[in-house]
Amino acid sequence: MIRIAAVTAFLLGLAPGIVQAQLQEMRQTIFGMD
Amino acid sequence: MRVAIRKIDGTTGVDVSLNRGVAVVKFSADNRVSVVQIRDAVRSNGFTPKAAEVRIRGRVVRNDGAAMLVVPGQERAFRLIRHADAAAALAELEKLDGKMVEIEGTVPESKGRATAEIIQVRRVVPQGHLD
Repeated sequence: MIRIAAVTAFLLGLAPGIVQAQLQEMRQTIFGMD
Repeated sequence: MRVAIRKIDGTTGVDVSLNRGVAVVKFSADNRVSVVQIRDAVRSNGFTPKAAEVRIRGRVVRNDGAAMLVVPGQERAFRLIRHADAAAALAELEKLDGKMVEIEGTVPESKGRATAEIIQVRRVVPQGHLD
């Protein structure tokens, strides 16, 4: 977990403001009622 | 459920089919929506979110030898693993370290709020070469 945060922070430090990247589309399978 | 998902800032369209058991969500170009947010909205409406198929853009990095997709400006990362139906797709990532890519794959069902989620990679498209 800590390593992941470190990688993210490292990249942010290298290239602040670089192109945002994110979900484009999501097909979420849903199941039943509780 | 459609209304709950649509209220999440950054979603641009939601199509829920209870018969087919799927919610299809589209996102704006500058969205910061996470898989967890969508799944929370599903749960809050009494349904259980299972696996999801996603298209997502991010930068490929290596962390202890494992391929990761990080989303610049966001405090989360995806661990990229082999998809059972597309074993070669993961190998393509080795040539794309540090590059922005679009990935199609599966985010398996998750019970917790992990900051590191998993994508089973089915297809990789280097950014700038999108069809």
